[in-house]
Amino acid sequence: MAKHLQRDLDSLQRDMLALAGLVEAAVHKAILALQERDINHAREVIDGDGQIDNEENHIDEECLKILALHQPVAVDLRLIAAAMLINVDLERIGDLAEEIAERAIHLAQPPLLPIPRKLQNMTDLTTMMLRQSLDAYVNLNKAQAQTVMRMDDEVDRYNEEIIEEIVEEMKSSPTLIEAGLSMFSAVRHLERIADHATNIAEDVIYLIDGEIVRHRDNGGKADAH
Amino acid sequence: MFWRLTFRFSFAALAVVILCGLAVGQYVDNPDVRGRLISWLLLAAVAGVLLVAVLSAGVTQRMAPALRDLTAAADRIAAGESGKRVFPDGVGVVGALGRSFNLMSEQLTTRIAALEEDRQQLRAILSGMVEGVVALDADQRILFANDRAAELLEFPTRSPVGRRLWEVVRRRALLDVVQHALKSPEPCREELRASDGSSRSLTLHVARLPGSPPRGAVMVLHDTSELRRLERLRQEFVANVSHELKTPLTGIKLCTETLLAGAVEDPEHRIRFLEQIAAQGERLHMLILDLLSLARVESGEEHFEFEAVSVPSVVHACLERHRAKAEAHRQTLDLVSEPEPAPIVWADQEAVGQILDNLLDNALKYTPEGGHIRVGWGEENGHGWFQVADDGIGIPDADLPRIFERFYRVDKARSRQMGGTGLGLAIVKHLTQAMKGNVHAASVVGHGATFTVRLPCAAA
Repeated sequence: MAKHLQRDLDSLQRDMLALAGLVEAAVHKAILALQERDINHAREVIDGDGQIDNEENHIDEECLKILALHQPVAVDLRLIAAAMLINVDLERIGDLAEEIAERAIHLAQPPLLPIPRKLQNMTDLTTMMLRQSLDAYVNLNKAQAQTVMRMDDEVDRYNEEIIEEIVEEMKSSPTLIEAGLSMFSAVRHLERIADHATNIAEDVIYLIDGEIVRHRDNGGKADAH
Repeated sequence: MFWRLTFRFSFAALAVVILCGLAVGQYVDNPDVRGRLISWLLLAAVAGVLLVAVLSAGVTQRMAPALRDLTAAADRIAAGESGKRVFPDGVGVVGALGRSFNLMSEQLTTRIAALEEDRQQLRAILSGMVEGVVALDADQRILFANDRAAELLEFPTRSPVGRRLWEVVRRRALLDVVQHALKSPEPCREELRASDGSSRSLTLHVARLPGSPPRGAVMVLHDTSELRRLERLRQEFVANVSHELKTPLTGIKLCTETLLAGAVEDPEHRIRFLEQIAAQGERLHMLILDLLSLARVESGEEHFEFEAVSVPSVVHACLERHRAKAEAHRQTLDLVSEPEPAPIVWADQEAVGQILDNLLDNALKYTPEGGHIRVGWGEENGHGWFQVADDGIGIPDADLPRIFERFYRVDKARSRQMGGTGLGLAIVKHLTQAMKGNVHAASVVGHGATFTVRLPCAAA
């Protein structure tokens, strides 16, 4: 019995990380499409979202199947619960990547809005957060999860600065307003991706400690002991 | 040991005595004789037990230390110590045992050493490879991964051994290939593109290990990023050349068509069209000359006549050539270095002139009217250098690393309007490299750019 549960949990983790790989690649490509005005990458992201959705459903079913079949307790139960939470976050990140890709296609058409200077910093930080939150999940590393939660503040700051920059740009030239709005929502989506990465980090802490740190807001930072 | 031996043999002796006693009781009827025999028997029993004790003590004395030695040595070998020997001073069985033990210990030591050496050698070979190698078991647990593999796959942990592959690598395409390879008898080969969440392009070979059920797989990774980059450069170059050749040709075609359509009869306009054709023809000519010169330098067919070249004299000659053009744009050409020390470099005079021409040409193009261009030279660490600095529009940081690429333009519309071929800096770079020097660009946007060329000194 325990052996079967272990095997199912192993296969669940493999599916989760396979989905995580897809999502990470989608975010990477969407950002590339945004920064290099590369429509081909954007189209790849949009076409790939269906697969992400399918895999999310599959993982959801797997989780329910394990719950019904093995009725796990303690850490095994938390493993399933965390998997279900992270699964939802991953799918949302996939959707956001798709939205960014759609904005990127808009932004590749003239009139060309200059790419905000700090966008590179923000995208680097966001991809790092996503990567580290997933690494924290794999390694059950609480310290790493907490680092991710701290990084979110910085992404929020970049978000504000970039939006200010876009607003300035739009004020200076009304022809850029449409492009500016597209860039604005792309940056917002990016910030949301960072939020979902933070959620994943919080789920990892729940998985390790059994303590729910979501919505326990201490000035933007959740306190996890 | 002593007690066990004594006990056993005493027991035997006593048994004999008791049997004799029983026989005496059975067959001797005379009570007198019976009493005497029994007391003799009792005496014999005591004597037998004593004799057994003495003999046992002797045997124990002879064998125990040797056996203890053997036990201790065997324990040490089991604990991993090698080359343990015992002293075969015992005779007979114990001695023989000691000698064969020593032989075994010796052979074990040499075999373990040979195995260890093989292992080290294999590790050294694997870690010295340019390719990444990862060995997996049937459950995709990592059995071995060399340093190069850790670098190529960007493992998030320093000890990947024992982890599942999917825990340390999240490149979906790679995981799919491995999964497929574990199922198929044929080795799989797959190319992973750089865009899937990593900066590297990898070529992947995965081969299943023999055995049934299969024991796992070996994965070999090649880094093909450089290859892909070169391929992209080549494609870009072909696209660029075609584009650069097409633009002036289109102009010429348009003008001739207009002339043929009747403008040739119009004396007022035909001169303008003809001038246009001549200008575009000149541009094509320049482009082809630059391409040819670049091709010559790159292919290494350009024959340099190395000699001691005085940098100041080349600079002076060059400045004279460009003076008229600079004055036409009200730009000032200044020499900022003292005549001494005058660096003498080991180079081809004509090539140095061409480098300087190209740099000055660029500086004049990208400096607005009334700007300043400063040329200087110097010498340090066995290299002579000269420098062309302008206070023009400058080059953004993001473009700096790429400006020496062929046809790379910071602002595509502007530089073509200036009449550049897009090959000037590429030629500068290749010429300096061919003469074992280097060229460096620095710039602050809005404050101009500085190009510094270093060439080895003639004396060095």
